[in-house]
Amino acid sequence: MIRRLSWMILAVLLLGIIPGCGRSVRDEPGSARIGLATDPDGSRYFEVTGLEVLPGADESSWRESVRIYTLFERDSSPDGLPPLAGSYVFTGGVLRFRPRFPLEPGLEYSARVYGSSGRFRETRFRIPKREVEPTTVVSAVYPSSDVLPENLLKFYIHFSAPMSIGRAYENTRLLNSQGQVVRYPFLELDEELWDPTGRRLTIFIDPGRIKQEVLPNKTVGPVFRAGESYTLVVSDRWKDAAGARLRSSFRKSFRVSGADHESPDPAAWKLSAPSAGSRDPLALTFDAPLDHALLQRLLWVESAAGERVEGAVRVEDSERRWSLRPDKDWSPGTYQLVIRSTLEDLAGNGVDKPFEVDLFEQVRSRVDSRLVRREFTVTPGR
Amino acid sequence: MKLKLLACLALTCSLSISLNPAAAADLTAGMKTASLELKSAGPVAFGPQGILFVADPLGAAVHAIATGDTGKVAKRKPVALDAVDRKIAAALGTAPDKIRISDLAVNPLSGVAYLSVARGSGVAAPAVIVSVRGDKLETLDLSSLKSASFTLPSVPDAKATTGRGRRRQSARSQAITDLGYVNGRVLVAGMSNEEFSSSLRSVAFPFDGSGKPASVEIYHGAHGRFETRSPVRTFVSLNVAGQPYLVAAYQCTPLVTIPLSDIKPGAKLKGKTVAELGNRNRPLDMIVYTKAGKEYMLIANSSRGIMKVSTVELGKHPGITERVAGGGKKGVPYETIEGWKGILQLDRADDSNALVMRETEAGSFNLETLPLP
Repeated sequence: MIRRLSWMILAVLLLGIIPGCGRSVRDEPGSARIGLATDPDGSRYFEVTGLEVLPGADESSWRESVRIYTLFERDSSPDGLPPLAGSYVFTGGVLRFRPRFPLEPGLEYSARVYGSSGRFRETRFRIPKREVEPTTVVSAVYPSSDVLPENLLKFYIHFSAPMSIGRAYENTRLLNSQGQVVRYPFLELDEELWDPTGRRLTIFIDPGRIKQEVLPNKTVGPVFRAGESYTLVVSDRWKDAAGARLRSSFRKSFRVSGADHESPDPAAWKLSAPSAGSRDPLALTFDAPLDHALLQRLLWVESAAGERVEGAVRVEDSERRWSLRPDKDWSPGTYQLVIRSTLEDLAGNGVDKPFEVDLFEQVRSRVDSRLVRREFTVTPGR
Repeated sequence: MKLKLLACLALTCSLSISLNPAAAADLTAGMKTASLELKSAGPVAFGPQGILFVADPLGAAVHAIATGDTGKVAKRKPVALDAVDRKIAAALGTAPDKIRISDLAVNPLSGVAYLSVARGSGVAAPAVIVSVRGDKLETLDLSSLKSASFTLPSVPDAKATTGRGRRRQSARSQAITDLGYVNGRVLVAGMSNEEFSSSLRSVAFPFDGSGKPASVEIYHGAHGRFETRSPVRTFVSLNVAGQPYLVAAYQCTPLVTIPLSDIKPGAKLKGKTVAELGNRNRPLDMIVYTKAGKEYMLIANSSRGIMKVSTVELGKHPGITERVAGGGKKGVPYETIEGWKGILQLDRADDSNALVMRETEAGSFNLETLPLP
């Protein structure tokens, strides 16, 4: 026993003489202690004390000597995995390793101090799992009408909280009236179309199955057929950005009407002008539903002086009605309803041109101006 | 969504260097070492001098990063890394299902692969660039690298918003579906999450603020009859009869050619359909290469494997202008490469190899270097 110990001491002494092969720690790492500390802002970092440091130790040598590994499963080995990215600072005899990103609840981390011998001392840390309650729901789907055109272009799915990204198409299905899954109905994009808050997803129907004379439409046909009924299903297995599943699945059932190839015509919209001195809303009624998102953005009111009338916009009656309740009382005078010509209906027909222009047939003349204006007058009420 | 520096482009560049001394200038000279914060990292592509272009759709910007990876390597070690998703997750301290790999590009100078990655689940997930040299993975520290950014101009009324006062917030965003560096310009293809539009922007590089970026709208003319806006999914540039062209795959599947010289501010462009890639199929990536003196294009698809097309055939094709009876395919002939299955990402590794990211049966992703077919 004593003889074996002597050999070990000799080995340690010899190894101690050999420069640390790019490492910062002398000999065996036995005396080093690794702990997990927390900054006042709550971010966790690793603290190593009791190190016997070689002269000239720097960040690159610390990377060799002190390594933290992520373990995906409990009691697994980090073999073959790279160490955690982060920065090292050695001050006052203490080495601090700050991970580049916060440690993940539910995962285990293996913190290792390597001696110049190549042997290491390991401490494992498990970050308690955070239980997340399912609270997020689908709060709305647009178009909200239960009758949609055969050449419908898109759905907007609104959620009550930010969602996880990258799983949209596996959690969104379209069923036909027999409950069968409609195959490949959506335009699946690598970059899913979320709004900047992660609460609204845009799903386009595959344009190859809407556009005429394009191969997918000719071989597998359109996604929707007039007269049939369908259900859009959002799975409750979809996780929100916090990692919790949706509180419940969501279904929107609708019937499909004939294709719509007509551009919206602002001249045909019914306009109810408010009375001066009131804050009554200016109300527009369309002959067919328009795109919910674009109605928030591409339609507004300007005074005769060209100033925008600020107020609360409401889109109601299955996107057939738009109203603006002003922040200030209406003054008497003329106003302009301004429409950006890229405003679309449910089939992607813009005010400036239909979704598809049939070059062989007579189409309504194009609107050259990018802004379409319609004047109305606000007069004192009776 | 790849490096679009092509064999033919390299030739063009070498010619232009001899004619234009400015072309040899240090393109990173105007860049600054500022802590670049990526709001997101989508498609990536390499330009010259080790400059990595990163599309940042959430930040509505394109960033040029001087990677410093400019040294020619005497003997390149082919990139080969199993379970790259697990390894990136481990380096970022999270679980493999909590990272998203958006794209990859190979630096033609070094053969090092760069991947754009999101760490986390939601839109607020931090974006990271990871490099893989041989089998060694590193996360880039962007605070120590020189960079320059170009903010994409917003469309009219993109800032018109819902809500009032401080609650105002625009819900519009612009996805960047692909980008590439071609002849001193960065081309950016995008589509909106609201109106069905197609924009292709061309921005001069270096980003010195001079010159207006050209923005064009791309249309599809089906057999000369139906005309529709057509967002581009992925594109590549190549020379046809000495003229530079874009070959683009539309979201509705046709493969089209567009002369680069037509990309002028405000232009409305209609691509010439040279192939229809078939239904239930998404073109993912395209590269161009030369083998035995002939030029080819490889197209990675979601459901039809890898297609190999002769670019001579692309150039010669008069365009599909007639109906295809029975829904069959008509257009440039292509060969499907057997054995290249499950390819999610593709780029040219060097003159004779491609780098691919392949999904395994177990559902993890491998980086593999494969000889060009």
